[in-house]
Amino acid sequence: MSERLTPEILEKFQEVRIDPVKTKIRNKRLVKYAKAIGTTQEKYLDKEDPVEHPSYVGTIVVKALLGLADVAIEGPDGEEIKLILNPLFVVHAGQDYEFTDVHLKDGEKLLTNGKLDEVFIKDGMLFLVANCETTNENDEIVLKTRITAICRQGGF
Amino acid sequence: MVKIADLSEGQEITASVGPMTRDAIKEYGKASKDTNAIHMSDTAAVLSKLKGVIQHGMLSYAHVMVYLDDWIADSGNLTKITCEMRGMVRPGDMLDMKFEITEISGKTVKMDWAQYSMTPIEITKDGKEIVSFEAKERDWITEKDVNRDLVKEKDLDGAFTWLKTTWDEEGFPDGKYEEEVQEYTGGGTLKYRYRLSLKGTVEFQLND
Repeated sequence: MSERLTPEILEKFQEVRIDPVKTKIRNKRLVKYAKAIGTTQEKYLDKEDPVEHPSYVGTIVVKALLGLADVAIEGPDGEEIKLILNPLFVVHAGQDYEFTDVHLKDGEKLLTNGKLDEVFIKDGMLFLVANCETTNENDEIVLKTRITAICRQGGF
Repeated sequence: MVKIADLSEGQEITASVGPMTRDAIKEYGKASKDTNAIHMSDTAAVLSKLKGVIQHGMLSYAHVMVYLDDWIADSGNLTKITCEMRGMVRPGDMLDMKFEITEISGKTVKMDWAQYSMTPIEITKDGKEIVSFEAKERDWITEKDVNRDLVKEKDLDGAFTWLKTTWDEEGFPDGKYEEEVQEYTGGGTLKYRYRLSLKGTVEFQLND
């Protein structure tokens, strides 16, 4: 049990939004990523018109994970209450993807919005679970993802 | 070409990839823009009490998705995948992936999957140490690993692929290194740690 983050405070963090994350898609990066993960499928390595590897979206939502460290609410006396005090104690613990048929295009800008779904302390560690949705400029959903992060003792 | 008619519930598929290398971890860091120092710099990782760089969990996860996606290829597409990150992966580790079909419904296939890291510690023959791996040198195997019965031994009866890392005179962790994947064929007993690194479920749709 944390003295600072009481169950009542933790409950207030549920549904709190994470700062939106903007990403610009570049073909060059899609191909560089595909080479780095070792896929040999030509469609991912085509320099002119590559398809994004399914795991590429992980690079987008990891930015949302970093945003979890900045989540804060207003306390009873108007003070800011942050969930995480030291982001170096945060580790990535889980990542779920729900894919759509919408593919990424060179030059398009994506927006990832997310909010906390679960916040709890277990075994002395703070668990944060967030749901995120990434959309393109046509408001089409590119990806739904669920991120789990753990903040170790000393970091919250 | 993968077809529904060729699959059955309970069917298992296994694959291995590796060994993991520092160069590949750095390439992934640059390509994914996740350049956290604990992945990119042994010096920084040692300062963070990690005894050397660790692989991005997302890179270990990407290896699972690369295997699955290459296997499915143009026969269908991934629709959902979940992942729990359980254990750190380091340079020199081999990754074993195990998939088990749990449900087939129409053209939808569901699987449970797990990824295990195999960390070589040493090869001995006739009581003498023949090869000592980085995990032993850097003390990457913990008492907890031993207590949890994760340290095992097996006789080598074929080629064993491993990562040789050579450091310059400045040495680990600040010096420069060279990596070379080698094959050991001299037989003996391999001591290694076998630990769960990732686990999850996956769902995909097939065309036929």
